[in-house]
Amino acid sequence: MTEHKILFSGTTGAGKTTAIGAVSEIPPLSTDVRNTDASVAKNMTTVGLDYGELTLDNGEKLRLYGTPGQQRFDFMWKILSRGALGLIILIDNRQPDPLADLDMYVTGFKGLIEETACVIAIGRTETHPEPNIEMFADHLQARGILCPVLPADVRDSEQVVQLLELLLLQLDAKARASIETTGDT
Amino acid sequence: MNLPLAPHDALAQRSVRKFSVFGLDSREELVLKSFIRLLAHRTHHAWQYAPTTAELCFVSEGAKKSRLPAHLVQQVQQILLLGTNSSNGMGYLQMPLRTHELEAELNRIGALIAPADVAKSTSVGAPAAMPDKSLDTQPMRMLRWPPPALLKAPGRLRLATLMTGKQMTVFGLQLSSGLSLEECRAFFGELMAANLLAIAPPAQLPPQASAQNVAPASPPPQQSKTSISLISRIRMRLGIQMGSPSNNKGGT
Repeated sequence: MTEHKILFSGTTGAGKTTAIGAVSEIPPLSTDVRNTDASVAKNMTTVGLDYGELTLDNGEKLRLYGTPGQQRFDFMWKILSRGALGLIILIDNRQPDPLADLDMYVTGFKGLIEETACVIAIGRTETHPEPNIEMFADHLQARGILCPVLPADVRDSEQVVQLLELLLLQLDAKARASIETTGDT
Repeated sequence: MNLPLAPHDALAQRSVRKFSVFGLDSREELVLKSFIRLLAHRTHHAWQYAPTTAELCFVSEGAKKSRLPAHLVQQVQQILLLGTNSSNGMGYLQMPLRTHELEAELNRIGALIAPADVAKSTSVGAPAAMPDKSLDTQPMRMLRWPPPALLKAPGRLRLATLMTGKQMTVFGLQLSSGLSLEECRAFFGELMAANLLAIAPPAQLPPQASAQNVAPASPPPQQSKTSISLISRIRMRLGIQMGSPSNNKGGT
């Protein structure tokens, strides 16, 4: 059976597990363990990955993977990127340097971003408005990346659906462009 | 003659809307015109074929949008795409045509169209920000994700997202988004005013592909094989309908 996957990545605590749980038809499977990293203010953190899924009308599965947030697991980012439809990056604006966090993920997922689609969601902007969306957009432009960047509260399933829709819009446009240029179907 | 849906007087008072056709083969064009004639006693507007003064243009999905004749570019307010894909929502008719779907689109679009004489009179003294229609077929490239203030209006988030991947014309944006030409023109105009648009040379690569001359780190991705039907299925599963207002949130 054909499988499709979309990745959620981002800093620890940005809400990858929550975002997947907001749309998955199964309770998200997580590999959270007790956090021993003193720099991260969480009792539990994801060291493996999160997993959720949706069944499409033809029986195919859309798999939603949340990658581990820490850079030391970047070998898993490459493994998970293979065959992925696209990437949603969640940035936690409470972190000390959200722009550096963004750099880490756009570098780590560079190949996937260039070839597929990417949406960047900034969380906790209501309490931590800086850096603002303009600063993120400037930052991305300086790195030659053009993709949607918007505030989002992933506890709200509608907002998670909106992030996915922005990803699908990009994929749709690319698929149609491919048909126009190659006649592919 | 029995006219169950519209009294004769009402038919006589209907306002005229003009349509044209682009890119259909002769048989498809003949069928389309015949269907519109068949529906003439039911539609809310009186539709006339007017190749040089059309307000609505039926465009084949396979046609190259950038080659629309200049007179259509200047005149057309709405484009209705005809193709074989399902689940494409507003602004798209699946072939073979079904009369009820054609009727619904004619009525929807007829209500959106400002007749040419009205459009001309209201354009006098229009805001200077209104973009020039002659730019409708000029491929443009968005340079940067727009500021939140530009994305507040309904549909703007969708328009901006569609502009991220490749160069676009106003017509192309309208076809992809399902929003009206006026909305797309206004968005282009505001992007231009904010210096966020650049004229794209014909064969320019998307910015993400051209920004780094590096081969993909992973095996050939699935994107090129991502079919429109798969995207439609995912949308359906998520309860997303193309063109629906809830999907047009500009919230930023």
